[in-house]
Amino acid sequence: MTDILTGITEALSFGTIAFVILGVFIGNLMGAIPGLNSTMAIAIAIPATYLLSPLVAISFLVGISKGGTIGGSIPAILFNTPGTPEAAVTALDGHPLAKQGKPLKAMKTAVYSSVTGDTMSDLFLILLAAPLAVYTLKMGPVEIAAVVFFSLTVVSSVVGSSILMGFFATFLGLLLSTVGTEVETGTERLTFGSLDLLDGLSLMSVAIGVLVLGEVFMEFAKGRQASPTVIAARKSENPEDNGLSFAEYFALRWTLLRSGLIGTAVGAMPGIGSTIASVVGYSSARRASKTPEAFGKGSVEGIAAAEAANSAVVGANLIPLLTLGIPGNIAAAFLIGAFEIHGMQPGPLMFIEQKSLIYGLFAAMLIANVSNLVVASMTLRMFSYAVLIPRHFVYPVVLCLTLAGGYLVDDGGFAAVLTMIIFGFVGLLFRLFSVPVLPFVIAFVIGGMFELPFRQSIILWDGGVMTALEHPVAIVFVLAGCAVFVRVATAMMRRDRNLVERLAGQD
Amino acid sequence: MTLGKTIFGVLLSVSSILLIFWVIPAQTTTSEYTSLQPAVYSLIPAWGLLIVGVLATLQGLRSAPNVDDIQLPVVPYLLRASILAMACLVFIVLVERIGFLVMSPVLIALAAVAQGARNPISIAGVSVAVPLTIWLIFDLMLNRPLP
Repeated sequence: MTDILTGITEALSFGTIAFVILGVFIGNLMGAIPGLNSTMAIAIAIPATYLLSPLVAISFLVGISKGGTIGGSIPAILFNTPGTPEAAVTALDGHPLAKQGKPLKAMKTAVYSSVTGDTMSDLFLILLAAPLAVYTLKMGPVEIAAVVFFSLTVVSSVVGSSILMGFFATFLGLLLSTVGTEVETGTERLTFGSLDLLDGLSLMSVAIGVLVLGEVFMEFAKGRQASPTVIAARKSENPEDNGLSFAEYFALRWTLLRSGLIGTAVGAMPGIGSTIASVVGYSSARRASKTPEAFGKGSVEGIAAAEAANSAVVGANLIPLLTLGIPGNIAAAFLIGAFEIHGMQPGPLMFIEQKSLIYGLFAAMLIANVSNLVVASMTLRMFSYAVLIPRHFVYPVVLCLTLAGGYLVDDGGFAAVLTMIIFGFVGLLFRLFSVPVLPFVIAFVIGGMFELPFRQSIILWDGGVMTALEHPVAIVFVLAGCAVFVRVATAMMRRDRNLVERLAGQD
Repeated sequence: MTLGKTIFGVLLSVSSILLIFWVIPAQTTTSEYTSLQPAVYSLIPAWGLLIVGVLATLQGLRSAPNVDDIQLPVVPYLLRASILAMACLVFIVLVERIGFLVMSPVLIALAAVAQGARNPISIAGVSVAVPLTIWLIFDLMLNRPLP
């Protein structure tokens, strides 16, 4: 109890609150700039957290993540170009509503719904994480290996348009995670005699390279692009069009609750992510709505459903991270890097060894939601101008920030920045050939963690097939992973067959 | 047949075979003290890559023409991105000798011009202001010196 109160007290300190608000502000701004997102902002901000205490650093990064979700809805609403992929669904109703002269109403609906979904998901995290962590600590290596197998299978199968590319990314990530010193024998593995590779490839260099530099390279590869037409976030003469009244918000309660629950459930599953959550939340709201015909034409309900669902993923994504040490999405993968910078390994043991940090983080997340509401409500019009920042300056600045950050992560130096550039090019190739980045990063992150339980499982498994029956939880996870794979593979094969038949029909 | 997927599959299969039979055995040592050799954990994903490569080749050969094939103009994209990657490599080589504050404005200015910026005043402003701000934050405020 003392640890919990210590954590909450630290979260309520001026420093933590100030950095949470700063994080939310940066997240809002980065989300509002088309082409940038909160993940890129987290990657760029990580080097700046070295001198902060672990709680302040992690809370700052979580603030960026939460702020980015709301910021991403601004370009989606104002010019139909989502700042973040998950905001694409928000654009379906947000942009038509803005075209009707109600851009502020659309943006405020997005803010209130986002904060509601986010808070719901945080409450689930706070209530579920500790009991789940207690259970996880009782799990043996076989169960842990099975959970990792399940996570990797789900991520490989569900993310991206092709299951083959998903597995390609996963296997490549796993292979690269084996570079360095082998855990049991201490011998070198795939280091090619390089001393820089003895500790393995740096997580931050690889992740920042693939995710941020890969995106920057892709933007440069596209060349010059025309600026889209923007709808100005002007106030309407009718005050009702400039905001969302409490009565309107209350009328959305079931939509928000449904989408919040969908986002939480999706977020708790590793790798599925907020884009799928917003699609599922939106389509469920449409099915349940009394006015489904209004969807796609500027429906407030549609905006609320999409935003509540995609924001609910943010908190829930920390469930697999804090209870299993498995990142649920890219932002969580970066948080692992941030935890490591501060000498900590996220996972269930944190609930015993770092109780005050965990509960401080939970408190900071709730503070971030309040900050998000206040900051976003106050700065919506200001951030709407961020969409006008010329793209030809956005990416050069991101490039410079990323390279500078490379000198600071993991004690930096030439090797770290070179790794970053090489993996930036790998990230470009991934984007050119439609290889999903998420399975690669998640496999790379958990590959190293998986090795020891995997080895122990193989030794335990030596007893034969009957030994498997002693691990029913592991069997459930392995079967569930296989079921997801078969389900997705069958659906994709059916889709491909239909496409081939359609093309044959055209001939 | 889809050319992109077939080429990808063949290249991946060949690379995986090289990894399994040459690179991984040459870059790992055999230990007498463990039941599971250090190479095993690298070989599993390598075999996985080989299976993906073979399946991609088969899928490419059996697909209808132009189904799910590469949609982007890969060669011009790669050329443009390669120029930037080379500029980044030159940057990291020179930054250790000349310094971040000198090299960064050059990199930003070149990148901005390549992206279509034409106003010399705004290019100069951004190119100087951004590296200076980064340097102030990292070097002076965070005490994390840049080259």
